[in-house]
Amino acid sequence: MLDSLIEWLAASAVSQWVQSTPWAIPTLQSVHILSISAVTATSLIIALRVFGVMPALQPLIDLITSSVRVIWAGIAVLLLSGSLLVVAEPRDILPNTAFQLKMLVLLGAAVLLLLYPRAARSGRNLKWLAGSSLALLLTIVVAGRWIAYS
Amino acid sequence: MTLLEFCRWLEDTSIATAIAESDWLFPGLEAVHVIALTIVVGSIAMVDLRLLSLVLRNVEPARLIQSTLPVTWVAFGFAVASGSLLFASAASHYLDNAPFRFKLLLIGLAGVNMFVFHFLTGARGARFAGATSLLLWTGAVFLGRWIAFA
Repeated sequence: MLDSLIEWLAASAVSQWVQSTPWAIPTLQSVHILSISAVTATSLIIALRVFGVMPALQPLIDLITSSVRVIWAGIAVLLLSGSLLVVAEPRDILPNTAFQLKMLVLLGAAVLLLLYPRAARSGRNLKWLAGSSLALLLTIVVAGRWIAYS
Repeated sequence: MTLLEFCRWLEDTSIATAIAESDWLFPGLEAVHVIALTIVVGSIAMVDLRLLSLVLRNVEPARLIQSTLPVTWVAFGFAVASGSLLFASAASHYLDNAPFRFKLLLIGLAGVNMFVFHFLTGARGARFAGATSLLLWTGAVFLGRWIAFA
């Protein structure tokens, strides 16, 4: 079933266009990296604040609220650029173990992200949430890089 | 000794050849490089967007800069270290690579911009520095991706 999906994507007009446009893939990858920057830096700032490494510049709930917004926006752009990258080279990416691992871990990270606002409002200790979110994020980035090598 | 001769010597060193010939050292260093640069770009973008009054308007720019600068510098250290090792593994090839050279130029200009801003006061200077910084770093990310395609 995956094979027929892959072949259908590979034959699609979008796929043909991306593959025949030399600047398309580097541009999509660059947009992908810029979005990762937004997500990674924001997540790191939250973790540093929660672990007391960074000083409090604003109420924690304000930081969490605006950060979560930025991260969801980043994820949206990542899914868009990522989808186009997958459509461009479906045979190389969809069956790839590193890619599948990345998607699975991404699901986990998204679940944690959903828990953030409520956890922040309840005044609970956010160290576990911040720490595991960061760990999952690093796994996602490393797995993402590994797609090109496996 | 010319620059090219130095690069040829560099890529012949045991550490450089180990990276070039290893299955996992080069991808591993790339992963470190990507994670580091996303933190550099993300944390700088946070400040730039604040200078443009687009985000975190309830935080004073000076305090934001003061708290994020250590994050930026530590990440930059990792980026330079991993980048240097990656460069060493095929030094003469990268020396010849136009996107790579332009990337270093843009990063240098971003540094100059930051240095100049340090001495500029007033809203106009801040906005110019923020916008210029965003453009330079975005360019650096695109050029960084282009290295592999040139």
